[in-house]
Amino acid sequence: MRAETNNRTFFTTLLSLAIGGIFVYASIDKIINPEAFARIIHNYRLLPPAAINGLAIFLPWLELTAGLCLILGFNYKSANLLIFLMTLVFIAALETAYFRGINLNCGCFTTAATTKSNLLARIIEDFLILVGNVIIHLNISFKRYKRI
Amino acid sequence: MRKIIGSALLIVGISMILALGSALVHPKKIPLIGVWPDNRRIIALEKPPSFDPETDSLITLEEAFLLWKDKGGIFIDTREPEEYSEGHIPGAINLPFERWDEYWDSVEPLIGAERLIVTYCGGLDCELSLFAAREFQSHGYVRPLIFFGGYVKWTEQGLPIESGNKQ
Repeated sequence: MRAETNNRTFFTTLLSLAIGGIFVYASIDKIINPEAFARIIHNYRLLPPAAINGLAIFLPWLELTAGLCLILGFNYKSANLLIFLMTLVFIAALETAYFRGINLNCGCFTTAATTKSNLLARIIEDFLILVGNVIIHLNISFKRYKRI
Repeated sequence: MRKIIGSALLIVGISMILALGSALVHPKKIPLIGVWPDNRRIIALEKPPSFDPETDSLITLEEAFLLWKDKGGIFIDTREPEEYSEGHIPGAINLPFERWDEYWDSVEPLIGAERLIVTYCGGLDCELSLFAAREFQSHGYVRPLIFFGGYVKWTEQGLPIESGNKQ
């Protein structure tokens, strides 16, 4: 395994800190309250009952590990890929909830039951994260473009 | 790319180990396989014509029944008093949407500010439950739930009702 810390441009590093930070932040409350998160997953009405608890336990840890790897630059392209895939899944789940009229807490950042989520805003945020993932993957530097 | 995917699998593996560890020692741990009602077949809720996913939260008959059974919410019957006294969901409070202002002052003290509100009306051809839920929102209630199936769906399943107009 090879750590890829040093070849990131300044811009990509900043973006990695931001997106990694979002994922670490989003994972904490879900790790602390697995039952509340399981209830939220159940509310999406997408998964077979047997899969709900497992996902509620596993997903926040994946968010945390991938987020930390992205921040620390440890295999950051792999972490970036995982975050990209997770975000795709989140968008798909949110879209279905939105169009089925299930307007409950999305469980994006908090498991608190009183939080009503604006699903459309969440979907837009997720698309922005995808754009960030692509920039990180290509390791784009805007400075370089200026010089050209 | 192969290297990236390989390391990604490693990250997934590490997360699994951490997750399993936490599943064993977490102070609020839950079983790996939980017992949940299968709700996947509720593919689309029947929606009121004015339904707006930005503001309105719909619930199914099953959810309405569970809330009622656990006394998790306060049910608001938005139909006319005559219909209410003929039969309503036990414990529901009558607040006819058409006469909101007339009823609100007497109904408001019956509802705690923190209680979860469930509105309903006659059934799938009636939108008063949705309008009432929006009115509750404008009065500061967080996430009033709309049981759009209403009284019709409730009685179809032979669920308990009560009659009379005692609030």
